[in-house]
Order: sequence, then C-alpha cells, then structure tokens
Amino acid sequence: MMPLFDTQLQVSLRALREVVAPALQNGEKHVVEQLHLAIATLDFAKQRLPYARRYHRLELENYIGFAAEVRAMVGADQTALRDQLAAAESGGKAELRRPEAEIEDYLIVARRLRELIASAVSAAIDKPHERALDLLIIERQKKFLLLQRAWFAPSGFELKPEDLPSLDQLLAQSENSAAKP
Amino acid sequence: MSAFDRLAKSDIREHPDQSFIDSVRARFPTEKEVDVVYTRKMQRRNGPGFEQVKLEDLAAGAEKLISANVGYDVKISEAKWLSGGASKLQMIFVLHWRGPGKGSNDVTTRLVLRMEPAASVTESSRRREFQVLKAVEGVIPAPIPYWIDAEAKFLPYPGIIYSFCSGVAKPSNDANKVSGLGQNYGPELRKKLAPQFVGLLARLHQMDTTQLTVMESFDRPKVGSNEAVIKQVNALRRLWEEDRLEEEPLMEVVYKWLIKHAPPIDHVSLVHGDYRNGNFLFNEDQGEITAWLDWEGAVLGDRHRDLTYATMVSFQHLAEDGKTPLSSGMMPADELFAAYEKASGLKVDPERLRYYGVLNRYLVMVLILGASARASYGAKTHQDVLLNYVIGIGFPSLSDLRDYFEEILK
Repeated sequence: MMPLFDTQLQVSLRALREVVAPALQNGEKHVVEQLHLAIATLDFAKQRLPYARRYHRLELENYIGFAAEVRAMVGADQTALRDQLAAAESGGKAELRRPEAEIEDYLIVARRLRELIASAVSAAIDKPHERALDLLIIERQKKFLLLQRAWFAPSGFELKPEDLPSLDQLLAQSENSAAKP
Repeated sequence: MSAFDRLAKSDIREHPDQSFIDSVRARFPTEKEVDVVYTRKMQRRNGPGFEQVKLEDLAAGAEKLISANVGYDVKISEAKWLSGGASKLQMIFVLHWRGPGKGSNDVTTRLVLRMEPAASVTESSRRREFQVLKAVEGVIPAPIPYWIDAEAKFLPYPGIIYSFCSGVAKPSNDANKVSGLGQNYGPELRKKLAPQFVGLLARLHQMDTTQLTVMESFDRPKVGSNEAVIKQVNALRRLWEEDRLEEEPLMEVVYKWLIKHAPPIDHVSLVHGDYRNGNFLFNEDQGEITAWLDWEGAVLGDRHRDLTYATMVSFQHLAEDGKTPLSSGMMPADELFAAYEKASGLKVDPERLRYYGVLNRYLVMVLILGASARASYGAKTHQDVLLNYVIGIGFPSLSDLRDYFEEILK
C-alpha cells in the first residue's frame, strides 16, 4: 500500500502545527515566521493538489481558444507568427487527448501559447489590428484571472474572498459547457 | 526524463546563455548601474542556489571589511539576525573600534549589515543604496551608511553597513502583516504619523538633485524629456523578460502603453521608490518617525511615482468607519495629495498620477510574478518560502492592474 500524497501532507502538517510550532513559540522571530509560512504553503498544496490536473487542463483549453482568436486577428503579412500559433494550438490539443500527459506537459504547451500571444501584441504595433488585439487581451485576461484568483484564494490575499466563485464552481461550469453538444 | 525535468528544460530563463542575456540587454536599454546589476544577476543564475550563511562567517566578513576601511583591526560582538527584510539578509552587531574621529580605542557602535542573497525580489545595487543614504543624510531620518562591499570582496555577496536605527516598523497592536502590507497604525498613532509621512515625502522631493553629487551611479534625467522614464519602464520590462516563469499577455499590452505615453519630467526629484506603510521605523510612545528604510529602489525621476505608490490599494486599509480607504494607513488619497502640494509647493498632476498608477501596478507585478517567483523557484534566497507564498498576491494585483488599465483606456 502506498500512502496518499494527501495523507503525507496531513501528517506533516499535524507534526509541524501540533509539535514543532508550540516548541518554537519563543524561538527567534524569523525562524517562527518561516515555520508558519512553511505550514501555510503545505496547507495550500494539500487543498489544491486534488484539483491540479483539472485546473491545468482547463487553463490549457482556455489558452488554445485564446490563441485561435489571436491568430484570426493577426495580419496576413505575419504568416510565421500565425503558423507558430497554429502549431502550438495543435500541440495543446494533442496533449489534452493524450491520457499519459502530465500536468507539466500541459504547462509546457500553455507557456508556449502565452509567449506567442504576447509576441503577437508586440508584433501588432502600428498594424491595423493593434487596438482590437489589445482589447481582446484585456477582455480575455479578465476571465482567466478569475480562475487564477480562485486557485490562490486559500493564500488569504483576497480583500473580499466571498465575492469570488469557488474553484469547484468554475471547473464545473467549464466542464458542463464542454459537455454540451 | 520526468515531466518536471521536461518543464525545467523548456525554461531558458533558469539557465540563460550569453546570447539570451545579451539580447535582453540590447532590447531594453536602461540606466548603466541597473544594467550592471541585472546582468550580474543573470550570470549568477547559472550558479548554485543560495547557501545559508552562518552568522559567525558573516561577522568575520564584516570585521575584515571594516578593518580594511579604517586601517586597523576591529572586533564585532553580539551579532544577531535582524528579521523583517524580505529581500536582503540583515545582521545587527556591536562594533568595537576607535570611532569616526581620532577618539579612544574602545568606542562601541551598534550597526547593521545588509547583504543581498543570490537573487532577490528587488534586484538592486548596493552602490546606489549607499549613495542615496549618503544623499539624504541630515535631510530625511534614515540609516547612516558607513561602509560598502560593492563587489563582495569580504562578504559572500555585496553588502553595506549602516547605523542601527531605533524604533519599530509595526505597532504592537497589529504586528502580523507580511512586510507591513496594509499596516494599520490605529487612530491615535495615525494622527501623529500622517503629517510626518507627507512632510518627509515633500522634503525628499524638494531636495535639489543637482547638488547630489554623491549619487554618481544614477543617470540624471533632463527636465522636459521622458528619456529617464522610458529607461525606468525598460528596467521593469527587462526584469519581466529575465525572471518570469510564465508570460501574462496583458503585461505586454501595458508595457507598450507605458512606453508610448511616458510623460516628460517637469521637476527632477529624488524618488524613494518604496514609500509606504511598513517601510519606516517609529517611536511608538511619541509617534515620531525615526528612520525611513528600504532605499534600494530609489531613482532620480518623477515625484508622482512615490505619490501613486503610497496610495496603491495593496497598501490601504479601511478607517474605523469601515468605508474610508486610508492610503498607506494614513489618510484618503485625495487628502494626501492636497497635503503634499501644500507641504512641497509641487503640483500634483492628475495625468501623471494616472500614468504612474499604471507604472507602479506594473512594477508590483514584475516583482511578484517575476522576481519573487523566479528567485524562490531557483532556491536563490534566504526567504524562499516567503517569496513563494506572496505569489498569491500576484493575481489580485494583476486583476487590479487590468481593471485600472481598462478604465484608463476608456
């Protein structure tokens, strides 16, 4: 039997919270600070690990769709960029279909798509589609940011976390819309 | 090869070759000393991670540094780590020496050694930090700089030694904020601190920069030109290019706008660069600011950079009425600007406020999702766990940048 990662994180957190932290109560300030940050980091990982694969698949799907929109805007005189975007989109779809693909495989291709989209922004300077592309980026980033903020909500940096949809809601919404014919 | 190894291998920024370093330098020209520091950072990146330094080794290095400067052997005692620095290692100690004059043989002085780790959330020049502290000596309460090891001849990394300043950064009733972000001083202390907060900023910006000859590692902006502003934007863009783990396409849109709309400077000020709550020490009994800290991001430039930074949402909290935002825990932004105009005689220009509102939000993103994320990923600091944790601030902050920028485009 192999212990679950969740169990391993749980036992580590209990040891740090219930044994180590009380013993260090009067320890040096920077040592105590780092201990509490380490506990918070492990706790975050424990909360998000069960969602990681679904999250990264959804993020990649989002960037594939985003790249296709950008490609449609890029002028005919930028064929190299259009070809690169198309190739990265195909690569992303192939990873999503591949059962053995790991989270890091999704990340590699999503990062490539992010870089290409940004390079389309700089390549659009003084081109007819410049403003439309800028506005598209601003609009799309709003949707992506909601997902990213929901992911990081347990970090405790949101001023009004109650106003954010939960990660469960966002993932379910996306999966429901993908399931529709 | 594991999937994690494949991901790491795809990341040119973690193992940059010389052509990558050179191409980024060429694309984003910036101030000479800034270029030196960023280039050194990139060359270090291929080296080992940060190894924890033993306190006794640091003390021994500091002894050698000081002895070499004063010309005789000195001794250090009571060395201790000083907490609170998110970006630099700090050691407090007592120096046994002959004093600054020709005094006796047994002068004791409490000092602080501030040394950079292998990488930092704010990659900066110790030479510039030393010079700016010299420049404000006697004008703004701040640590007095004594000695510098700019090339790490005596210390493991470049560092400076300056005077120990008394005071606290956080009031005892609200001492748990990370790096003092959103620090609430409470109504009584606020009444005493707020006028000093504004008054010292006004005094800083009024300094005649043409007389600051000690600041020789700073490029000097020209009034009526936006060249210096563009260099400062390029410094941030360069960091983003060198440090990011993942691109955020919005950052490129904002960068383009910052270059296109860079306003000419109407008055050259010494800009602190990190002027906010949590970055000064004060005497809790008397409510007196005893020292402004963290001068490493100082530039010669536009006063609106400090004004918009001090009024950023990240550094606000609500007043006791539950609805009035207090900038840097002091006062509402409009009141702060009015008080500043009155104290400094310098105009607060709404257009420039908007521009620097974007620039400072862009800066925060570069530092969090760029420098912090990269430094902790590469195990390059003494506070990796902190720098990794604050990545969580990155997305509410990027959202703030997006919303602010969208309003401006309207």
